[in-house]
Amino acid sequence: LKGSVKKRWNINKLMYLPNIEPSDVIKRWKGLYNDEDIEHEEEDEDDEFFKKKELKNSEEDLDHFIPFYNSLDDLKAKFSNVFEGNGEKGESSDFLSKFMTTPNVSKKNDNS
Amino acid sequence: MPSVNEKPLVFEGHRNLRKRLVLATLAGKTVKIVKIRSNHIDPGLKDYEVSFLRLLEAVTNGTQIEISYTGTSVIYKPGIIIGGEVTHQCPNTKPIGYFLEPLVYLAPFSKKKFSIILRGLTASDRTSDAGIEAIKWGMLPLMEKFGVRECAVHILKRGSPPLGGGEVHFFCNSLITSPLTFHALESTKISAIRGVAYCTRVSPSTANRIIDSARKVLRPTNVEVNITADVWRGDNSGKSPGFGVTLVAESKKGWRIFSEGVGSSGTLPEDLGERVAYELLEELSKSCVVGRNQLPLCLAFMALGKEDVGRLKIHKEQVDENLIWFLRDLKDIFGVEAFIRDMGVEAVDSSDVNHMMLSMKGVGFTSAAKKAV
Repeated sequence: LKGSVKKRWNINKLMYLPNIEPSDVIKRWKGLYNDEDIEHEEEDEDDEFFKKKELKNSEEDLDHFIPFYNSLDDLKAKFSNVFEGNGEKGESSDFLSKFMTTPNVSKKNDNS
Repeated sequence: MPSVNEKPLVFEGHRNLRKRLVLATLAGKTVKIVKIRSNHIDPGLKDYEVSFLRLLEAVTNGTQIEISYTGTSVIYKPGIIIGGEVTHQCPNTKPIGYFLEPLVYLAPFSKKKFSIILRGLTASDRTSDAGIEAIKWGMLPLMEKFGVRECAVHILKRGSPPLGGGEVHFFCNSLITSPLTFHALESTKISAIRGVAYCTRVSPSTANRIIDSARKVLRPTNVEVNITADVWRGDNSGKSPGFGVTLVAESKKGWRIFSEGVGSSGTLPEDLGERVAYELLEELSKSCVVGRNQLPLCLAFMALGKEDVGRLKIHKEQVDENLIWFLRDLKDIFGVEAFIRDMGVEAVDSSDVNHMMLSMKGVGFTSAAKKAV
């Protein structure tokens, strides 16, 4: 139903359900999964059937060790906000005080 | 040892292949892995996966491996983890870390002390596998938290891609019956960032260029940053030129979160240093007590622990597809389930909004080798 409140899923119930793919478990848990997605998926499957299958270059990534990161530009943008203390509330400005033993540089500058 | 009439656990595809085999070895359960790259142009097991199976065969006693004609399915009946002195030549398609990482899971539960020499690439720019420093500084200190202390990795020769020529010695003198119950509830605060920038058969200034660029990114963190240069020359520097860097963020309580990178052809050392430094910050922002790459080891040892509930504080970002796959594998093989919940009353400060508590009851595992004694 459009406009209805999204259901909040319990991760513990979801994660061991064998009929739900782990990627869908995460989507549902994070509230990114709509009923419309299922319809789109069915359409996509039809489309893909007639497309030439592309070989996956990242096939080894199914057994990887290093996590996947955003591009360097994205990371730079994110952390330039962090260090300048002008990022979004709750994410960037508190980074240093959250993760480092030393006080936040920006706060120090403000005090001085 | 699996019983003769035991029905094998069936897995599909090559996802988590090494971890499934390792967990099966620890549990002593037969597994059948089917549909391995069955839809690919080059189907079946790859050379490095076969090599890994041979390595498992070498460190165990009584293991039976049956690979189908096409290589798309394998039946693995594990034997007893025996350890001992083994030398293994790794193919140049994967770095030594690919083979070493799973051995870390097995080594403490072996019958004899592990002393293994692995030859091949010490790092690779083409794969996302563990580097030697990542295992040395990231995985082994984590094992100490579970009671595994006398474990070390030494790089005897560095071997950069594509030709390799590296040699690594891994030994584990700490043989335990089961890991200690794990309680990690504090949020990690980083007190220092350390690292090593290494190079083989290139100008020694390469390592310094990596260090300078990484330090520049990490300077605003206001913690001590100490990155050393490790320049390899002569016979011990392998057959190909190369460079790389590993950065480790350390807390006073001994938790370590790391990132690493290897230079590929055309990469500037400055770019590599900068990228790895930013990735370390990103990893910190998405981690709590342990990093994403340490999580499987931590969970596996929690599952193997005594029949008591272990607890681990995790970041919400760590609950991802890979974690779910691994938890499902743990359930299939050991029958153990994890329980994840919000911090609730255990929340210490406002930052705990992003944190969750993962609890898992150990299976009361006893090393098969110890049972046999």
